[in-house]
Amino acid sequence: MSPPLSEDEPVEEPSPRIPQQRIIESGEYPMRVLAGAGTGKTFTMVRKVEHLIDEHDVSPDRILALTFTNKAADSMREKLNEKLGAPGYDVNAYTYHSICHDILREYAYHAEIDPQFDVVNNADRTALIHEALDEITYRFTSPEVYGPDSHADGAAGSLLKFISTMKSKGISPSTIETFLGDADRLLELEALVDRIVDRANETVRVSWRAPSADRLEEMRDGIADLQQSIANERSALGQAGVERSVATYLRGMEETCTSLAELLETEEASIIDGEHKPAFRLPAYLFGTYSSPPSGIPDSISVTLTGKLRSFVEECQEAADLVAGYTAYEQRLHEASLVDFADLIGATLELLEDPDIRAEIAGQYDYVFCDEFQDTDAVQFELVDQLADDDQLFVVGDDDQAIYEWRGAAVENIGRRLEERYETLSTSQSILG
Amino acid sequence: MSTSVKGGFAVTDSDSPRPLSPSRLGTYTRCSRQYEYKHNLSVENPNQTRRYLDRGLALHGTIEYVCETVTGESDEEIRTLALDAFADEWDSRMSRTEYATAAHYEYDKQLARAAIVAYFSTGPGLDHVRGSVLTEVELECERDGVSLHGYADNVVRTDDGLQIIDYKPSVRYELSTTDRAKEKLREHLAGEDYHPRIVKSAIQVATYIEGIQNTSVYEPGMEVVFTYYGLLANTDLEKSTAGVRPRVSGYGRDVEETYYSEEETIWGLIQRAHDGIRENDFEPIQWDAIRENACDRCDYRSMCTDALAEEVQF
Repeated sequence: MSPPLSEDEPVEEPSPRIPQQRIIESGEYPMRVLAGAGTGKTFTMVRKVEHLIDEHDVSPDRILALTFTNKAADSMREKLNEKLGAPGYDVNAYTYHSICHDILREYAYHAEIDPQFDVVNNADRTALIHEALDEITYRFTSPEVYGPDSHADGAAGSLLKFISTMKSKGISPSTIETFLGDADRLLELEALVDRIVDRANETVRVSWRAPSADRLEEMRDGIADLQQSIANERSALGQAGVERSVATYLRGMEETCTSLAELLETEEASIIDGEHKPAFRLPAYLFGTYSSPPSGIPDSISVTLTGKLRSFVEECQEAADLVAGYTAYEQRLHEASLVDFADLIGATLELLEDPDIRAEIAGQYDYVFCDEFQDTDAVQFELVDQLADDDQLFVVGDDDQAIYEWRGAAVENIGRRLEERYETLSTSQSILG
Repeated sequence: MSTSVKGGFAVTDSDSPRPLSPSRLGTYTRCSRQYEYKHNLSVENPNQTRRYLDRGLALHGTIEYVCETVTGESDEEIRTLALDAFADEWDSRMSRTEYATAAHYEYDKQLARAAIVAYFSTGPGLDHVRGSVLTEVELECERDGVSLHGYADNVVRTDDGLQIIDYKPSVRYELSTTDRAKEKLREHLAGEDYHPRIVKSAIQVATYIEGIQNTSVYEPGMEVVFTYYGLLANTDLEKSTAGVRPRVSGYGRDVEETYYSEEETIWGLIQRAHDGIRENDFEPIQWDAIRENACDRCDYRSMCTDALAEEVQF
């Protein structure tokens, strides 16, 4: 057993393992390191920064390190300082929000914002949300500010979450309004779902009687009728926005009808014999005529096609109410010279659309390092992309560990999206060795 | 303590200790320390919203007014009277400032109005007001040195006796006649589990059923029914491009059977809470259960030494 360390003895940091050392010394950029929690991803990143400074004479202020929390940024600075002395503090270690804050302060004139802007605090935000709630015409949702069991369930929580989600995806109120169209149509789309369920009740609902060849044939005819009804509904829909999305979904329903009819034909014997007997009720279940799955339907089929469509329409209805609150919230932020966390990144991205400004800002850094990249959302990804001008990008993360997914983090940022953006991306997945 | 009946109201000698209410016994049952802060030390909580309390008073006030006013009016006249009374009650009791938004305030008004409409249309409101013999009546009872009192919202004369009605927004957490509800009372008394809400409800039923027997409207042999009536038991909204409208229906639950079958258990629970209060014993029992179930919503948490001690333990 090792003797306990006294308080005076320095804690010696372990040496990098071989795979970690390989990453540290690698000159390949852009590079992605995928590994699980506790495997030393951040340790490797810090050592790589140190290596660039010590071994390649890279000036610390030419390195930008982005982390997710202030604590992580401070920790990185401290670790570099321990290793490198004062130059460690010259590395630009920021959170995704704090770098934007500094950029906007410096370029406020170009960003067309008040240079004295403040970041909204929780109390201000709550007050703004309450004011914004009174700008909503409640057509689909309840105006009750707080839910019966939890504050988060009420209108205030819904609006806050809605704004946060939309901003993290860079979606403006006008884009949402254009997509949703008229409130009347959203009510009609809900009626459309009801009509499909009613039609399914008429055409594919089965009685308690066991399936037979005749009944299966009758069922196939019913499915064909249902399919035709869905096609008729689809042809009456518009070609844009939410109606287009619903039309696409209805086409999928029609294709499902075709598949179901084929299934009833090819599996006829086993459905009649009993092995696949529950499949006889599958069409009726999928089109919403049962309140709960009939016996024999696998648990994996936990949602119905009509149920899913109804949820989508209801979410659009909720969005149609909340978008007015989103607009009012944005207006009030602007009037009070306030920005929220999402604005910090959104406004910086708008600023970086100017090629000269982008060149000036991104030109300050030769290397961009990103920690916990799986927790970035769409706009944070875009920010990193804009700042990593020469593709000298190094990101670490865990694609199994997206803790901020609930607020818009997109795990594909460290996966497919990164691969699509950087064709020469190299990846390391084993750093423990 | 002696109890007498005068004009339908039970009154007590002034030199006796004030009888305890089911609400106070319920607070003690939930957490004796909370009782100490709230009632023994009278620590006021400035942040407490009156929003739903006042809404309840507006609904109660409306029904009470209609009960006391109605003589031989038609169904339609009673409904009109109720809606007029509701408008007055709402305006006099409710304040927009208790609500975070004007929209919520207006919606809550619509919701409460819809509850009155439902009560006097699809609900039993017409029968209740026509048969009403007492409203907001103070009821008192005494057993084995335990004196209790409370205010019944409405007492209705029925074919077989009396029906005590207590109006609530919802009956979800109140006593019921299920075997599980009875089991919960026994579990709480035995210290095996923690069910303060249903215990409080049972104490209220006991107080009112016993108390009604000390009033002038009670005659020996009368059947006494206790009903929890949830005026906002089922709420929903109707979507419309002109603006959402609340849909409300009420629901009544008769629970006297549980009192009669669990009388001994319920009085055991009453006795324990009563003795604790009278003896100034505020040391929490079942502390783990209290911490898990009651502390989060307790208004006194930030000053409670028991709760704070949990956060600084090593």
